[in-house]
Amino acid sequence: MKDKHKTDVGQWMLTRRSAVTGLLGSMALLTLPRMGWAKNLQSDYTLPSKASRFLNVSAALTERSDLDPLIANRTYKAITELDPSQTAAIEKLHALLTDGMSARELFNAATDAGLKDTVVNIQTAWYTGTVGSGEDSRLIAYKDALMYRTVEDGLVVPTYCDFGPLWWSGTPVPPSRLPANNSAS
Amino acid sequence: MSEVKFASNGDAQADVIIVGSGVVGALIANQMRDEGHSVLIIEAGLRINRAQAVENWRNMPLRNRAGGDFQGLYPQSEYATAPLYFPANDYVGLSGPNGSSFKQGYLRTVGGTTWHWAASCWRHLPEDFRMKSLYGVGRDWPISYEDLEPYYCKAEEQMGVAGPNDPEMQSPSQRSRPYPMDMVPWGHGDRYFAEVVNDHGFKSIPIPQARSTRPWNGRPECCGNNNCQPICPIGAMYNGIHTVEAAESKGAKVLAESVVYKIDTDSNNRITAVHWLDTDGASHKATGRQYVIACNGIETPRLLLLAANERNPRGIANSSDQVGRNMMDHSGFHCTFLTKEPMWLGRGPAQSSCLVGPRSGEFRSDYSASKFILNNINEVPGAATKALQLGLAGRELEAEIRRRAIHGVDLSISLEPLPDPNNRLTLSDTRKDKHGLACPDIHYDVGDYVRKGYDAASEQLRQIGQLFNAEEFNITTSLNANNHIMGGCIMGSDPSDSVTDGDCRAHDHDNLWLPGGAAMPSASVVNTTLSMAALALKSADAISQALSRDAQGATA
Repeated sequence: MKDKHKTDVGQWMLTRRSAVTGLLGSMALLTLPRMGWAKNLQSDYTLPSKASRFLNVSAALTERSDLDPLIANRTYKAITELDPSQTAAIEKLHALLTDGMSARELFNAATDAGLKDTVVNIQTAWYTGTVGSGEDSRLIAYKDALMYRTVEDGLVVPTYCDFGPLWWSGTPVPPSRLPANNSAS
Repeated sequence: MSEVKFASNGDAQADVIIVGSGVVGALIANQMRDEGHSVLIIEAGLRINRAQAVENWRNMPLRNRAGGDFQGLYPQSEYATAPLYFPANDYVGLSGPNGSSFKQGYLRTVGGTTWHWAASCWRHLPEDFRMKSLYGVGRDWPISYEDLEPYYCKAEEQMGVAGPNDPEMQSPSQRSRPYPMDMVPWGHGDRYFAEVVNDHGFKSIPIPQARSTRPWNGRPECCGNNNCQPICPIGAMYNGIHTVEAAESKGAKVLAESVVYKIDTDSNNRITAVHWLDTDGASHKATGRQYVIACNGIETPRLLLLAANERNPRGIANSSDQVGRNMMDHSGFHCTFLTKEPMWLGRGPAQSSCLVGPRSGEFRSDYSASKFILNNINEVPGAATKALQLGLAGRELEAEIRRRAIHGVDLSISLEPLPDPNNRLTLSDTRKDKHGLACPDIHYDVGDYVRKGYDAASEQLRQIGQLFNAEEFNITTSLNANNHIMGGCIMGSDPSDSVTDGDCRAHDHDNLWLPGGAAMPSASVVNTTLSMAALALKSADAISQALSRDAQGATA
């Protein structure tokens, strides 16, 4: 577990990649880095401190250091708008986080503290890209939902064409291997 | 080449008036236009923008996507309601023992419901046309497989179907022409599944699909976006809109957002006009020589009943009282499990292989046939939903999502209903659409034939589960709709108990044609679209002959 899952500064800077892909979609990524104003996005955008702490907790729970701050911000807003009590719950969850803590350790500590539902909500939001349930469901992310990353070496995110015509007839990778480009470590 | 004429008040005149712009109406329009006739298509719904519909789908919450909300991404005209289920709009009022199994998802759009089909292009079996003669159940068709076979070929050509050209892998193998394109290649999951089950009589074969395995009439090759339902993002899958646009390019006219509600007849009971309402509620009239109503299996009988007039008080084409009766669908259910060996389903199009071993046999005198589709839909959303309930986190959670996604199997089973006049569509006394037209009500009971078929199929599925050493094996107990709506304008040789003849021509009206699923007197267990398209093309030839006779009569 890396230290940056928790920062005292609490300000996650938005990278150019996440700013451009988050705001404008992956197609724009091909052309926009050459545009002057795109560069400004990285310095102008910072996460509010509560959302930043939410991102710290999320990074610990997913064991991923590359979570998109824009998605984090939107997810945090949706979770706390749908259930305002989650504002305090997420602060409590953050207080449980210590350096080097694994996802399992944080999950267990949260469960002991009566925060299991909060944890599962956060996990559900990141992995499915959706916050809330029933008719209150809100879509936050589609292709960036983390569930798709677990099989990205063998499956496309539906609607996308990553590998060209009739790509699927070969032998898939062994199931025991995690995706080669899985950046969690 | 004659052209559609529009009067200053919006009224129209054409050789052929077609109500409904789905695959059936579009194929007829295209052929009529090729023959030089003027063609007007009147469509109740909106035009759809493919890219916008794809974005709408991506923007829907997981609940809608995982729950199969294939309706919600398509914008609806407020004047042409179609069923919605997230939440339910109760446009179709359902009742009876299996009313809840008849929740159909059909679109009222330019291009119709093939916007969100899976492109399976099965033929009926020869014996499916002779259910009464061979098995003593249901009805015989007034035409044979051999009568329809040339039109199956033509439909496969028009829709660009890719299928297996090895007769051992065909169902049926009685074909006069090869498939226009060779089969869609199987992925690992299809191959592995077939290897396991085919020694046990289940006969897993390639699904013939209207999907391009090479560039085809402006359609690109399939890129395996794995999103056939609810929309192919790249148009490699055939949609009715392809044929609509082909007909339009040749001069056919399409009026969208135009709701037909009234049909005029003369003293010989020939159709003389149809009337439609525009979005301002103004009424207009279309006059022609031949009229086709192809609005889908629910909207066609609904319109015929709505349009009752003085000479046809029970509804147009309804002297037999069979319009709206014999409603059918392939009631279905699912079998899910986890395999020991990896399946990797979700690579390629949404469905590529199907078990047709239980598709026919002497048992059909006693219970329903069935077929088992191996769904090839990305299993990740279900896998994630389940894994998130297990108290896992971090890499453990991701490994479990991956395990479930790679090893998950979902079989979609279809059962074969029999035509039963008591399964009936009627007009609601209380619910009206925004134009004030009565909404449809449907009473539905699948009957013991289907219930016994469910039991037999379940036994076969348990055998399959054992072959795979299945984990978390489950068979759903409630029946789901499959959107294969049939029977409401049933075809037959006796005008006293059927609505159309073997050309889908209304017994009661010499110049009215009702092709599509509503005319089908037996359901088989296979998806209906190719049979609907073949019936459309058979009607088109008959309409063409009728127009020729009209012309000869006029010059004589």
